[in-house]
Amino acid sequence: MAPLRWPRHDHSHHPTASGPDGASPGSPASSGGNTVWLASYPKSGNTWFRAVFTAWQTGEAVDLNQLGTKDTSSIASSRMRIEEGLGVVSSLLTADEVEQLRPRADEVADAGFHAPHLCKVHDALFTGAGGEPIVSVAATRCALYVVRDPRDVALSYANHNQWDVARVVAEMADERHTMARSTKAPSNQVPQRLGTWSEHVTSWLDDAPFAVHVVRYEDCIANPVATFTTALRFAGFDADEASVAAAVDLTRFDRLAAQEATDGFRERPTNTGRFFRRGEAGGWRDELDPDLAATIVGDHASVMHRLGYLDDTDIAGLDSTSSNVPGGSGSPR
Amino acid sequence: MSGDQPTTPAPDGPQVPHRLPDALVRQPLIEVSADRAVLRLPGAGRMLVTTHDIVEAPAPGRGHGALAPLADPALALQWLLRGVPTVRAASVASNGRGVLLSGTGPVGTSTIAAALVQRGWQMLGDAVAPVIVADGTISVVPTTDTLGLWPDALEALGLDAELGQPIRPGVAKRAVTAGELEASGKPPGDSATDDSATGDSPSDDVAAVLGPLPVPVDMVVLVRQSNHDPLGAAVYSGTKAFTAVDRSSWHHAIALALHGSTGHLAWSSAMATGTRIVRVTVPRRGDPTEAAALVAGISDGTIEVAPA
Repeated sequence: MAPLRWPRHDHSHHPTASGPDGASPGSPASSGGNTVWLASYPKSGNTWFRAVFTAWQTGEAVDLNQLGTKDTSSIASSRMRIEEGLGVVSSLLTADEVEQLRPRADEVADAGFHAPHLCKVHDALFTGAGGEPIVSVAATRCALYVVRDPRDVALSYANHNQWDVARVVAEMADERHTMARSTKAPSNQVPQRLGTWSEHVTSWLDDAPFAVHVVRYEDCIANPVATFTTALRFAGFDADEASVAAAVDLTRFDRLAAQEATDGFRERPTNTGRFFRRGEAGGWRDELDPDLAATIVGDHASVMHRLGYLDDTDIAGLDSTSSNVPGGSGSPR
Repeated sequence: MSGDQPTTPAPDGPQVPHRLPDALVRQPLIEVSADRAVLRLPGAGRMLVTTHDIVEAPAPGRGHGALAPLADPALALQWLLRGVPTVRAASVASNGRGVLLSGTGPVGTSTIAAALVQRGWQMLGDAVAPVIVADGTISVVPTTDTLGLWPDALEALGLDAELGQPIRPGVAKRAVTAGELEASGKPPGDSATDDSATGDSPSDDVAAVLGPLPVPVDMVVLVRQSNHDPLGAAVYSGTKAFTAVDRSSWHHAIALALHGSTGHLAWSSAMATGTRIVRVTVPRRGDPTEAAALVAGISDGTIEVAPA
């Protein structure tokens, strides 16, 4: 995957951009637009964040099937968003043309807002065929990057796509991994290049030409009010802990799961049993095959360590010649 | 897709401008003045649209199909310049009753239209449906007899996945004519086409002079694809119907600029009150022939639909 050739943003005043332990950086200076990218690898908590945000905005229980149908929370890769913004038939465009035009669609969508608004995105932040990031920098205010232990992601992603977990683990290590890439029948989203899980994380955390705040799924579980409040303030929303606490209560996992059971959830793929499956951190410990867990660690150790998913003891037990091990002979930056 | 729309390749020169100095609307790929529009696709070329012509200027080295993604938007702009808004819809007719199948994105409108053609319906258009509101009558102008269909859709219709012609190099979607669909069709079970009412053969001489005759619109079907819901339908009315129709028009912001908000809203309102607005939910990867049978049944009154 081509890395960004963009000047890197100075994250020095946004400590959470380079690790999970920093204090709230407050709201960043806008990059020019009002779009707040809610970026994540799939099955990392993006939907939960959007549900909390919607409940916080409205002060009411969330209708899951309305997520993404309003102006906030739409996904950057939506064909409808691109076609309505540009007046072109997206299904007749080549993948390169789509990548070239997506930032323009972002700008059209962003022009309709005079205040910060969220937009979901699953793409890695790569340089598109037009030579610029896949999302428009001009339309961007900042990004919230939601990240989750890849061992839990693997299980959830396997359930979501009804794939064998081993296949998901392999896809998460494949730099060519792309969502919605069928050429026989297009989906309602354009293809999205994810790259490997590690590439996805570092593309947003290290290469973004705008401010990025990390939201760990595990922190959302352990300390939801503080985690969501900090993130919303970073994005420029005037959030206080009392209103966020109310939103968190309205979107408790058991409530969302019950709503899915009663009303269904339109974002759930056809063959998937449940979208809201466990809603836990660390569920991989009793569910993931140990060999596959070890494979994930081997593939992503450096980034997992950086995000607190592996400690120094874990790292010490790994093969130091691996390029994915921090301090290893082939260690990436 | 606008397969029948005559386009003129532009000779070298400034015939297709890059910009319109007198543009009323400027969008990333489209500029529109009171009497012209320019569309551009980076790397592929440009198109100039006037009320009477659509001129293509492919980029150097780009050949057939390079500008296909702009063909339908250009046709819709041409009708807007003529004063006629268009619905983003495939259009078909049976016994003189026009039905628009509308939806944004690949939700299967063309596939359902193709299944109806296989049942003996007449094809009027794909993707661009110019709708004329005059003297209390709402009618759609036929634009093409060619549908754009994906290989999966062709297979779902029981057809060869390589039927028709490729639309654009590198894109699997194919252009399939109504004749090819009719040749493959099943015996009509629910309807027969009344050609005299749909502007077909008895009117060919007239059509040759005036262009295809408009067909009265009986129903607008809003196709919604679902991962989980079964095939079903519901009638929209009031604000819901108005909003759905208004949102289904091509180039909404340009229509407002060219026709004024009052003019465009009057058009949407006439559509919403003068036709039946029916939402049809189709299961993703469902059988398009079942969806076509539902639409046919609603159209001829053999299937009743409850309000949404």
